[in-house]
Amino acid sequence: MAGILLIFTAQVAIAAIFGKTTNGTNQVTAVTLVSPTGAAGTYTPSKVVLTWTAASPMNGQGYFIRAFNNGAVSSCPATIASYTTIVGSTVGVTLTDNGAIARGTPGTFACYLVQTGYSAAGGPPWAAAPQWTSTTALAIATVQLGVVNVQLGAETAVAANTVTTTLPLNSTAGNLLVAIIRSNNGAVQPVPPAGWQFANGVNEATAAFRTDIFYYPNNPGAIKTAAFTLTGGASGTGEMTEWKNISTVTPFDKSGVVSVGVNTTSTTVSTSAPASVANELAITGVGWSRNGTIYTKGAGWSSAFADVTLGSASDYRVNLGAVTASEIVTSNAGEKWSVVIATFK
Amino acid sequence: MRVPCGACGSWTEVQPGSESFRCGCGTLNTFRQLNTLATAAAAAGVKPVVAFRISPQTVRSLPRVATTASPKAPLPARSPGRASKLFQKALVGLVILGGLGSVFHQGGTLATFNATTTQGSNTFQTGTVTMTNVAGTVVAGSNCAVSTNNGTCATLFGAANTGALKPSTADIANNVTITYTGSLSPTTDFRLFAANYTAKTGASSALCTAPAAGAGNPGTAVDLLVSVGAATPALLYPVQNTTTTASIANGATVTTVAVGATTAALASGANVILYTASSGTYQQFTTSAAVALGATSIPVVSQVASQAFAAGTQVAPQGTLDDFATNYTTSGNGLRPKGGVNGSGAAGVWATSDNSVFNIKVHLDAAAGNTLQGCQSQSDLIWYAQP
Repeated sequence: MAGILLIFTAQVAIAAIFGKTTNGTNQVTAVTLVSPTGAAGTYTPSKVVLTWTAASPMNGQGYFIRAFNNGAVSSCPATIASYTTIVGSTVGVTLTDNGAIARGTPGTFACYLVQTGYSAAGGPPWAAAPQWTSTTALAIATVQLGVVNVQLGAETAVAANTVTTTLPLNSTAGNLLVAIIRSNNGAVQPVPPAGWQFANGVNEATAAFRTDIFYYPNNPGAIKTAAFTLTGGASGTGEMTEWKNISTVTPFDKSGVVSVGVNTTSTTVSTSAPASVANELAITGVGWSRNGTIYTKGAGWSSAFADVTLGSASDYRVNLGAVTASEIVTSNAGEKWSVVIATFK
Repeated sequence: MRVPCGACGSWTEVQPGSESFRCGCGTLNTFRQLNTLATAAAAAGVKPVVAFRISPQTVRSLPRVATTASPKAPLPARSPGRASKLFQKALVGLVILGGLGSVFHQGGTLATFNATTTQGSNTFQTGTVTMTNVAGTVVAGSNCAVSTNNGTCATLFGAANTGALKPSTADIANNVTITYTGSLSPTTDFRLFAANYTAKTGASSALCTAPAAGAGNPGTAVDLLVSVGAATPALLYPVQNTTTTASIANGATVTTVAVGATTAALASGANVILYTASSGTYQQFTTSAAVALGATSIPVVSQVASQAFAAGTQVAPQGTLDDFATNYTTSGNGLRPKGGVNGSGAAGVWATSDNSVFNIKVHLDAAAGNTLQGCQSQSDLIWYAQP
């Protein structure tokens, strides 16, 4: 037995004669996609403009965006699976969504997820989720959909020569300010203060009263009053409102007027054309001849103010489709009407 | 005292004063004085040695010690009379001393009679089994530019060139030149195999959710190709299955690849490559149905040929790091690169100075899923020569 062991030992010793070299510790490592940061969204009617800061390092080919409507809940989840709707993809650091998510019910919240993406088949646009997407440090933007009323000013008392509208609080820069002026200025428009623009207005000549809508786009902020000048000793009243989620560049979209010189209990004011997009701010300035004591706004409209004593009101809504906006206004007695409507996007 | 037997040479204990003794073989030995030897020694000027011969009574041949000293000397006749007891004791002592002297000192007495030839300065040196290992690009470590029989040489792939793999068909390549420098030539075997393979290292990121082993492990998504030679690199790994029997034009939509009888079955959905040695380029296709052993066509998922493939193009399964590192693991089952220059010789037979450049290409498979983000795989490459 010992002899056998010795033989085996000898064989092993022979086999151990060899030479080798080793190229050791070769490693191959797959990249980890890095998410972008600072995702944010800005709503204007029917679209959300998303922006973010590029991933660093940007080791993908572009960005892939998903979203869903979170209803009345403003806190967006940090789970990727919650984001079901494909919004789009881009190589840049901004994306405009004007799809179903952006056209969601005003007042609800949309949640957007921006991920760095990569596909062996090529960069964006991706019709579906790319092969790889970043999955950590998720870039999420929460956006409240719809035009939002920030504040409603009180109707001013009737004043001669100047109608000074007010807001309860200073305005916020970037928001849209709207003023409704009812006056007996006749055919002449009131003169707005600097920065304000005329949307539309109409004079009811037989009763000699007019209603006008002015707006201040992208206001610089800290505005609490706005004085509109009347001419020829005319007097008038007015109201100022503040709105957000309106374009800061060219917010005014469509408008229309109606003037009724014979007493009638109801009239309809409509824009001259359909709104460019859905969910614009539609606002009316209503003047009537004060024969009745009851004013009824159109169905689906909200009241900014209504003064049956002065025969002045303003209604608004933010949930119309991309259609011609119109409101049927009614009084319990026959009236002459001077009504104006404008939409802002 | 002990005395050797004149017949068999076995040693026997003899009492002082004895004239004879019987040894183990049964032979009766007697003691006699060798007067002739003493006389001859004296005549030669050498201090005489009083010698006695132990002679068996039945055998009269001489012990070798005696014949060496005086091969022709006749032996005196046996003494007819008995010596006194005192003389006998002295005689026994002298016999022993004389015998020992004859045995151990005869060389000294005969040193003047010899001849010598010499094969001088013989050296005995073991052979070597060595090689050099020089990387095209040293990613880490250093080249084994000096012959070694057990060298840890340059790392070929690491953070510098494969630290940010994404799904792709674009290879990341490195090469290594192996030169056999051993004196034991040619080798009886030469192998390339993997060691210390880890499909998913601990350095993988938390995003790497692929399994550490088995189906879908990260190593299965690392496509690997090894070729030999610079100008027209021959495919070493993956191992060829068959060759095409019809050419494929560049830009052609490929749905079936005509081939010689396959030497191994292919599963549906398996990745195969068409490899063009003349350019060292290849394209991956995916089988759209199972392919039986011996089949002569391979149905593939429709794909546009990115290059022209001549008839005879090599067809092989898509090699992966995992496949390589789990099938070629020892000097017994490793790949057998050919010797010669750039693989011009026979597989496993490398003579001294044989050398080849091995091109190693890797990429993360183009279909690698999101679970492979941040995964890291690792393996050593061993080049092994057996004399």
